[in-house]
Parts: sequence; C-alpha cells; structure tokens
Amino acid sequence: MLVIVVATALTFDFTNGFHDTANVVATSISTRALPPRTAVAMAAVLNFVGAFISLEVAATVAQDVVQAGAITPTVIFAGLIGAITWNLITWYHGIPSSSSHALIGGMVGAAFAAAGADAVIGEGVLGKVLIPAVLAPIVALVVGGVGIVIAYRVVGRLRPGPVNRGFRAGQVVSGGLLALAHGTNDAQKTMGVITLALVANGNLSAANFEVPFWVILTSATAIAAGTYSGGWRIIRTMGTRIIKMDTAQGFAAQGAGASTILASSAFGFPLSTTQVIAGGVMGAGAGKRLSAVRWGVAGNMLMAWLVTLPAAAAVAAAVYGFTQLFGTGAAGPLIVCAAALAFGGLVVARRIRAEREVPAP
Amino acid sequence: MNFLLATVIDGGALWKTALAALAAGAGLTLLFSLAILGVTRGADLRAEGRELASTAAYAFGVLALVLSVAGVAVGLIVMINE
Repeated sequence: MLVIVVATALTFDFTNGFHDTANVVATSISTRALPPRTAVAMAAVLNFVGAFISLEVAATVAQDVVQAGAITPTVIFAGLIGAITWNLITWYHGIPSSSSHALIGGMVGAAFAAAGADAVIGEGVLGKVLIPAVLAPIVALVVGGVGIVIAYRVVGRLRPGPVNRGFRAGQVVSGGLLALAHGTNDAQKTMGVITLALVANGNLSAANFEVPFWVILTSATAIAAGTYSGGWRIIRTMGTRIIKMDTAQGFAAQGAGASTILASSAFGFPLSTTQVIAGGVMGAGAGKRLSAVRWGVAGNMLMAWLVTLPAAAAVAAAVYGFTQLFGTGAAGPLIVCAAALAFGGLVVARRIRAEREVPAP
Repeated sequence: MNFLLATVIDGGALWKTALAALAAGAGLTLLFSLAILGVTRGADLRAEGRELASTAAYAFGVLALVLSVAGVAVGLIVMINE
C-alpha cells in the first residue's frame, strides 16, 4: 500500500512540475532573455536544487493540516487522487487552478471522510494555508508594482537599448531565482505528503518529524522531470498564449514572485506558486498602466481559489468512500489506480489531439 | 471573532514574510536598476570624453551590481538557515 501511495505522490509531483513550467519560464522566454530550450532546462535543474533548500513547507503539510495519528495510507492515497483528478479536470477545461490548493483540499477531504472533523487541524488549515494563500498573490502584486515603478523612475530617461540589454541579462538571474523558489515550495508539498504516509504506515514516528533523504531526492527528481517534460509542450505553443511585457517588467515580476515564494517557504507557508507568479506579473503590468492588466484573470483566479479546495476535497472524499467498498487493503486503491490511469490517458490524449487541431494564428 | 482569528493566525510570521518579500523584491529591482543606470551613464559620458565622470558612473554601477548579487546571496543564506 505504501508503494502505491509513494508512486501516486511522485506522480502528483511530476504533474505539478509539468503544469507549472509555463509560469516559471514564460516571462524569460517572452522577453527573449533566454532561448526556450535553455529556459526550460535551467528551470528543471533549479527546481531540483530548490527542493533541497528548506523543509519548512514539508513540515507544515505533514504536521499542520491533518492529524497524522488519525489517518491511514489509504486516506493519503484518496487525497492525492482527489488532487490529481481536480488538476486534470481544470487543465482540460483551461481553468487557472492551484495544484497546491488541490493537494491540501484533497488531504482535508479524505481525512474528513475517514475520521470525521477531528482529523482535520482547522487552525492549521486556516492560519497556515488559507490566509497565506489569499495574501501571497496580493503581496506579490504590490512587490511587482513597487518594483516596476522604482525601475522606471531610475532608468526611464536612459536609452532603451542598453536598458533592455541590462534587464534581459538580469532576467537570467531573476528567472533562475523564480525556478529555485518554485522548487522550494512545490516539491516540499510532496515531501510532506510522503512523510505523512510513512508516519501513517508506522515507518516514522509522528513525534520526531524528519523527512528522509530518499524522499527529498525522489520528490526533487519528479518535479524537475515534470518541469522538463512540460517545457517541450510550452515551447510548441510559444507565441500564442504568453503576454508580452518589456524586460524591466519581466525582471520586476520575476523578482516579486521569487521573493514572495522564498520568504513564504522560509516561514513554512505552502502557497499557490501559480497565483503568486501571476500576482507579480499583474503588479508589474499595473505599475506601468492599470488598464494593461487583464483584471478578468484576477477574477478567474479568485473563483478558482474558492472552488479548488472544496472540489478537490469532495473528489478525495468520494475516492476514499469508493476504496472502502473493497475493504481496507490495497484492492480499492489498485482499482482506482487502474481506472485513473485509463481515464487520465484518455483525457490527455483527447486534449493533445484537440490542441493539434487548432491552427496556428 | 477577532480573538479567534488572532489565536489561529501567526500575524508576526505573515508580516515578516510580506516585509521580507517587499524588501527583497523591490530592493533587488532598485539595485539592479541603479547598476544599469551607472553602466549606461558611464558609456554615455565616455563617448562625450568626460573620463573622470565616466569612471565614477561605472564604479557606481559596478557597486550597485555587486550589492544586488550580495543581496541575493544573503537572502538565500538566511533562508537556508531559517
């Protein structure tokens, strides 16, 4: 059972990297600071490195969301399937959702279905997940806005050629920091879940929280591999979906995203990195001209934030209930895995075929 | 209600996170912009034949660049040791 849970968690980690590549590399590519292949390769490597930097977020996911003593590996499996299912649904329909919120929602829903409200640590979910999740994109928006105003004030009267070249070079560093930040926050969520599974399975003590090195290494590898794989799809669709911005805006947006994620990782807040990066981009856009920002996107983000947690929780609770129809062993999770693989493969194949049929603009 | 929120939310950590993000993000952009300003002005002044002013501007730009790189390094070290 533990093997199934770890494999499912690493699958989630891979899809997380795959899903988020665009957020990490889009700014560097759209301003031509880096060629697409280099940007994707650099993001994959720095995602891997970032996963080793801090363990505060892993501790929050493992200790402050659900009661470790009250749950089983099947609960964690159901939570992961809930998160992956919701990720696939939103990816298929193009809804901007957060993998992180889906993961937390999935864990809460499955724990609630298995052991009732007592299994969910309400204070931890509210204080360490929900409130920071709302505040972080706003902080990134403000940081991006302040940054671009400062940049334009300092370099606004200079010749554009050297300024663009300078910020383009700077984006190599700020883009790298963003990829590193992504690795610190997102890979740790999977580490927290696997550690929780090890505690639930009796391999680790709940009293002495420690993430085993093999968990760090496999989580880092999975998110880096996902980032690299996702990147090639992004490269194919380049130029059709990415918003144009100048190099100073790109630098300010990446700096805002990286600093917000890194500061949050240090304090153990598991964020939606997607929403933080979008906040930084919006702030850098609004600092130049308020109307340059697609405020509708902010509305979609708010809607996705409201829906993702309860939706992933509901799917996870349903998956947990389904697995219990086959007893408490591994039979239920194995049937769910087989069904999920078949259905997921079908959905992904249909989506890729649909994208190929859309003519290039 | 306020009491309940105060007991659940670690306001101190949230404020520290927001201030650290603002200082690091805006500070990095400021220092890097100053580096570009120094180097660009240095090149312009050299083209005008004002060698001393050009050298001063270049030095200012390099100092700002070094400070921005040092800021990133210090930020990462602080985070790793958190």
